[in-house]
Amino acid sequence: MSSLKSSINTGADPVPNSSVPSILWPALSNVNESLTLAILGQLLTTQWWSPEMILRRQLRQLTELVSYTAQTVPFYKESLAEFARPKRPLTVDDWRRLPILRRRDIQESSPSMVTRRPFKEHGAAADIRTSGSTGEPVVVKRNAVTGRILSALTIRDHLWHRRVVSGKLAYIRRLSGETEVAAKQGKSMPWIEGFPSGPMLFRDINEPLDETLEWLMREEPDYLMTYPTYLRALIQRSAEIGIQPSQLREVLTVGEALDPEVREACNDIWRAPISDVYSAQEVGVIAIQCPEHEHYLVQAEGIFCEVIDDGGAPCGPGEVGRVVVTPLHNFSMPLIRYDIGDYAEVGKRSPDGRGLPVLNRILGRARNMLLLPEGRKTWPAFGSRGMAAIAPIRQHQIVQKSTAALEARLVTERPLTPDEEERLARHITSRIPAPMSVAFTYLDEIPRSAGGKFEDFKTEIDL
Amino acid sequence: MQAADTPEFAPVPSSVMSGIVWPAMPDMKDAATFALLAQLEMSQWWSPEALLAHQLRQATELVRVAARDVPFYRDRLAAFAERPLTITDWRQIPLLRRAEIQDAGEALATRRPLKGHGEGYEVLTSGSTGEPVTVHWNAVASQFHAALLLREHVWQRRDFSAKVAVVRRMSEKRREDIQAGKAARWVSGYPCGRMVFFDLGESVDDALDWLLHEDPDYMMTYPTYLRAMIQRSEARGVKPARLRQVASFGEAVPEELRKLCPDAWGARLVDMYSAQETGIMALECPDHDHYLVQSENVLLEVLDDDGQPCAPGEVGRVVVTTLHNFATPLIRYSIGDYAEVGEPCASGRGLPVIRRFHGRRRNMLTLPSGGKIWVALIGRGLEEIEPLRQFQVVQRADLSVRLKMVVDRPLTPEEEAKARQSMVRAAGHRLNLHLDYVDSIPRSAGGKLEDVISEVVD
Repeated sequence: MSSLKSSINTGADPVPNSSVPSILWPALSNVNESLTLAILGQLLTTQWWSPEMILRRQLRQLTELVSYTAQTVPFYKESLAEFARPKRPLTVDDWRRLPILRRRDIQESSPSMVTRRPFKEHGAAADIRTSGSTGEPVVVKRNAVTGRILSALTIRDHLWHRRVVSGKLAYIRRLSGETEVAAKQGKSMPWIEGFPSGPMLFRDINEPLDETLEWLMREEPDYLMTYPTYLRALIQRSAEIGIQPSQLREVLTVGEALDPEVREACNDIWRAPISDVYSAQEVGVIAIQCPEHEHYLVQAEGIFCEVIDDGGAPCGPGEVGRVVVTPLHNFSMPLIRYDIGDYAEVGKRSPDGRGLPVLNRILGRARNMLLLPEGRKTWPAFGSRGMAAIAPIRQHQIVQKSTAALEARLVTERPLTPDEEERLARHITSRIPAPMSVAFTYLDEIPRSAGGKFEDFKTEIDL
Repeated sequence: MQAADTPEFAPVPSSVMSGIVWPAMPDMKDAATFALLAQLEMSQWWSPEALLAHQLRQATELVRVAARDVPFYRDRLAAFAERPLTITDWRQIPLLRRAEIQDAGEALATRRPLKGHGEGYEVLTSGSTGEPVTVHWNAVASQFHAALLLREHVWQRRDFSAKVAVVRRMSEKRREDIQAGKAARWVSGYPCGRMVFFDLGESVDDALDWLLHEDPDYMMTYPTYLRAMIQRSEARGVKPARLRQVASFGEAVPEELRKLCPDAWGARLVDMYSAQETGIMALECPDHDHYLVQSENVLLEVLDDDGQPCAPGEVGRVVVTTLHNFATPLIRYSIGDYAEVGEPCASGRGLPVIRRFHGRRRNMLTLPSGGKIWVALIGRGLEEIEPLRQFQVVQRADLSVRLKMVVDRPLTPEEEAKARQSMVRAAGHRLNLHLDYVDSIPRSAGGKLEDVISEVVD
């Protein structure tokens, strides 16, 4: 830690915004934020519960979810029939007999996975569309309740890592919608809901790297949030040209598996620690880096996370297996035992005393960068939705063969017409800043890498 | 940070959201309490400096608004209302005496109730000194009170499914509410066990019979009444079977009672320092035999006779500021109690430590030398005198001391001699002692009773 960073310690946790005049501390929050804080208050305690106690409470919540799902969600009517009525407390053995939900199941059946009897007080369900790292687009529904849980877990992350909420946060990601507008207009947003938050500035990941570095030097944020592979590129470039942001207290990584080399580089070159979050759009936060260690703590109050081997048995500490998750509170579109497509290594109980399950590392979720002829690297996004709108594509993977050629590997519901191929090629080349050829390859399935990873884009050029 | 030392203490609030049982999603009112509690969960671990900085920020706002909206404070606080207050500024603010509250009357109430603080309502307190004062409370003050009550339950790791018996003096309204089945839950926002009430009368035997019949897990009452109940239970050879803990409030706890309660009933005594006009000021530490000031709700000072803050080990006057009651701001209110400051808490909590709360100055005996002492009456032999039902010590202005006694029959000469010896043991000095037989020793309107009352004027 630099002297600058160690000198910034307020000795107190952040105080929420107060909605009542003249009450500054402790704050009296507004109705919505009070509910978030009421959940957060529980999380302050539950993190110290024993693993058994946490599991017991999870099973009680899962009992509610499964019973409701069996009764109101057509997709689950048969597979969960025995749990419909009367509601009986689920056991771990019951749980392990439940079928695994695949990404493809959601693609094929998502309309029948939506509840027929939504709870009014959970709020209106909204679509979340995600291409995911495996390139198979899925649409799930979320609501106000899942949003509330997400807010509480996000604040927990900030508290765990003792972030100074008045600090400035720069978020470099693929922008769309309101973040894109905010970036264009140079506007900021608060980054921590319900607290006197400093500004969050957005920048698109496809802006030229050098310009983004200059932007960082100009803005001098306290925190940077971005994808690990992009962070790596930033750090490399900053080392090449000999400039680096000086105020950074911490870098928050999201969205991909974090390569330990990136953590090292960030510490060594930028003198900033990395704090990683494992989340997925369709399920929310899965695990957050422990405040005391580099391992991850599963956010067991919001999600039931299993890591299972090829035979479906739970992995023990040190073993790598598939990540299967069940968001505990999504009653709009329950995802029960969802195989999210990632692999993770199970850890031993956290030595700090917290009882939340431990993941040592998360594999998978990598997207690589596209190398352009002039040597610049860029972050390609080919738009699953756009491609699916052109042709019935199940799965895709774009592979860069050279600085002039791409291979589009596709899994389709039927052979594509020459016209569809031509439109797809145009679509793909329109998403990259340099002309490249596109060759199509059709496969029954696009296999995972040996490490269990899947990338919807990868380059075969040695970067 | 706190450690997971009691994984079995894991209560979950009531959830009102369909399908959601954990983590709970409470209703609006409970969510507001839990939102405060979440902040308290964190702030208890802050450093004393961080706590004081936040208190001064809140106190600055209180002073600013009080100077603007409360006639009594207009001139008094004018010089302090213009800038962020430092602790040095703070110590220059004049103390508020109980007599001043009585004299000020409505001049202490705000002329401009703040938006969102709820309507003000009157709280009348007789206090143990029998000088009634009236202050106004509002929804905000109650909100903080509710959060602190919850903090106490959590700190004491109470079993929320347990049954609670409350023995206290009740207002007409509370009696009506209870009869109408509208009694509050003993843990707000959580599924919890039953709460039963006994309206404290003069017959300790009735209360004891009721307690034996109800057989609760926890009891809440005044220390002196608890002592009277324990004495009767010992005399009758009966005791409550399931009682795990007694929560006491409203009076200074006689030191000997802390031992008597577990010895006689097998129940731990946990005290709370509060007053009607201020709300909760200090709670017993979950891990140690001392009190932690509830700095998130009150700025509590312990001052010596020169107005300087007392150091650990020293006893001084309690001066309290309620940080969130803008209906009747009490700013540097000398509440009349004495307290001994403690060393910082070994648990790591940054809340100030009070080793013991003593009674009021008028509960001290004056020695012929002019020195003042607190005396503990129990454990000195008085309770062994068979016919003695109740007693109280009153010191007159001439320093003579009267031991008032309620008895089943007049004492024998031997018993009277024993009573005298007990008093000498209790005081550690020879006293000009008279024995008075009386029919009853009444409690104050608030249900409180003082063991020792001095009429000596300082």
